[in-house]
Amino acid sequence: MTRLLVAEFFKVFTTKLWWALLIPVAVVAIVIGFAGAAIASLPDVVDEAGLTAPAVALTMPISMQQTTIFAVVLGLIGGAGEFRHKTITTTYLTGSSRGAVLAAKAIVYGGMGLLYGLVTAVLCATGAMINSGTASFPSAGDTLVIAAAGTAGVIIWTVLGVGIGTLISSQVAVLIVVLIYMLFAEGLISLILRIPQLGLADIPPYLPGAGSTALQTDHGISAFADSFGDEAFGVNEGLEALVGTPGQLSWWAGGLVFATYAAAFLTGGWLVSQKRDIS
Amino acid sequence: MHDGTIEVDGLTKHFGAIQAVQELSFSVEPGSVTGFLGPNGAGKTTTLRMLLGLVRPTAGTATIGGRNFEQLGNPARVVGAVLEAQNFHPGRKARDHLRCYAAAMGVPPRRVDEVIELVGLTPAARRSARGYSLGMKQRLALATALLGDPQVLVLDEPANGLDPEGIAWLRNFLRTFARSGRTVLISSHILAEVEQTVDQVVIVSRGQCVYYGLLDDLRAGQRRRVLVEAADPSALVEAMQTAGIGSIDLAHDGRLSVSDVDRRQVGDIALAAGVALYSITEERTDLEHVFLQLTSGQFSGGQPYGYGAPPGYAPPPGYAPPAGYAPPTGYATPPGHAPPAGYAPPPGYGPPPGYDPAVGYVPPAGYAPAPGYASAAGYAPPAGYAPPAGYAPPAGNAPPPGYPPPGGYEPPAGYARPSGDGPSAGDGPSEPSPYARPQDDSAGDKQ
Repeated sequence: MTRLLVAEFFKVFTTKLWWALLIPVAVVAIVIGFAGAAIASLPDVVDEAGLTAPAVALTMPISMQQTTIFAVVLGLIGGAGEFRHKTITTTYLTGSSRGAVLAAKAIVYGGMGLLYGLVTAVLCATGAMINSGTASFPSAGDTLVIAAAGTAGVIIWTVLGVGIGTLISSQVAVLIVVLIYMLFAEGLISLILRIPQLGLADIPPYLPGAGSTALQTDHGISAFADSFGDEAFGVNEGLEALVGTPGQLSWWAGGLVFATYAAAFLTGGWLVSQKRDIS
Repeated sequence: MHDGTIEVDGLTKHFGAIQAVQELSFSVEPGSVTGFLGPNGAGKTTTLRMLLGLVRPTAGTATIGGRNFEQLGNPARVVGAVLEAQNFHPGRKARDHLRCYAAAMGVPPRRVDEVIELVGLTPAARRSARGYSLGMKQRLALATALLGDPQVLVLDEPANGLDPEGIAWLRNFLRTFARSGRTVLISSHILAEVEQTVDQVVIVSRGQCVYYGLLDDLRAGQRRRVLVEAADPSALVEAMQTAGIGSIDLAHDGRLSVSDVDRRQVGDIALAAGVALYSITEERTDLEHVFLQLTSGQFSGGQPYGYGAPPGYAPPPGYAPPAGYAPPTGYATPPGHAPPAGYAPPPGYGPPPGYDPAVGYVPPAGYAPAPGYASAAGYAPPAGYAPPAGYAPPAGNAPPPGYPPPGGYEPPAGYARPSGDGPSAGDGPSEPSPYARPQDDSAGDKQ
């Protein structure tokens, strides 16, 4: 198993994909971090007490949500790319079992998700600090929780990508399907489910994207809203609609829902790969 | 260290309605190079992939050293495989490709440079596979296969894309590899490509085994004939029959085709008989032709060597002689001719496991109906061959009383593994004497 982990790490770092995807992640994080802090520092936005709103509590989750797109692409190509280039033949010929290969990939790509999440957190914070020092940060504890929850979301997306990539194994198809789902389809499905007459309005928070969003944004939204103290009425709901999803679960419940989806896809990928003929 | 014996037993694979591989059985011993031959689409690649755990068999087993691929633990240390030329990430440098898989096998990084050196890729090691030629990709694939210093090497069409120098190098390498007590299984659709390399061959056609045995035995079955254009063919035929040459055929272009005789002998007879000869040509079936006949599924009287099935040949299922096919007068099997050791009835005609001689018997290749056996339309030995009603073997060609229904048929030596535990080549129905005709003796001497 250790051998396969080392092999998968080598595979990731001997092609350009991992840093080609990390560049936009880094750029987006630093720009969003900087821009958020800049907006919060505008004279019109700073409140009477002269306090700057903790913009990082929102910009970091937003950066993390952008990072998930690149992380899932990395995971999908990690799972399906070997089928595309037919290197899966050699991989299976050199692995003790197909299950072990998939487990090694899930762990290694989870590690890549961790890297992407950490880069996002650090660069988003850096962007904010370049603009206005620590003025737009929430408390240190909140910042850490926000960064950790956001990174967890990125890790799970990457592992989920490996699972779906192994399950479907057609790289082009899997990229199209997953990106369309992430960017458009789930939003549309949620809208339809929220039509009151259908009586299905309880379902949308349990969709994978909503679970992930709750995990990545919920704590930040609370921290941001709390900074308004007594005037916070309605801010939480408004931000949920804007940054997260309406009526979303708490960050840990959303994380649990999302992790369950990832585990299901990984299991599906494992089951299918056991029976698949490599020809 | 694993014992590198490859055992394939009753291996079967169906892709939906397509029967890619049917009841295939053979074994490959360490120290030998085995050619796995057949036309494209015969099921070679599927078989190799089943052996390597990449394709799940519908039935049967394929083991290496007595174990399934999944049970090998660190499989690349036991078996190395070259399956396709294309299986590289285009953006990964060759050396990095090898480092990835060296890590997966747990072999030290210096082994990477060793195999690069071995296959002659050192100058290109730091280039990505995108810029590689097909031949370079084959070398890289071989380097990958050799990384784990395996006991068994499986190669699927490895000569594709290799230049003549590369092919020569590969041949030499495989022989050396096998001589060190290791096992090589190499597939090809061109017999000549592996002819100089292999010791034994497994020939498949349409997913079934049509020949399994030593290459030398297949080679021994090569036959020759003399084509004669005579002023008076019938006089020449008469003269030759008087001289004891029985295997005379009328070629489609009007020439006489005389099997298994010397050119000079025919010339001498013609001179003695006073028949003018306009041309005389000697031909020899080459191994490739034998291979083609084994795998083509049917033979036609119109082809250049249309005078009989080669040794080891057994009509595959679905065989039907062309309409109008009739064994020519005077055609007979030369004495001493027998299917080589290694003759294997194809599946469907009763493969050795569960072989029931009473049902599945097929006359050995080379068995030919005697003169006068007119069966233009009816000659079609079906599975469960039974002589047609009214079939009466002419005197002289009749099996002796007590003609043993080949109950004792067992695969002769060479069919079983070379350890010699099988019956010898003289056993069973391959005994030529029941078919021999006295007047053929002289012809036989010339063989």
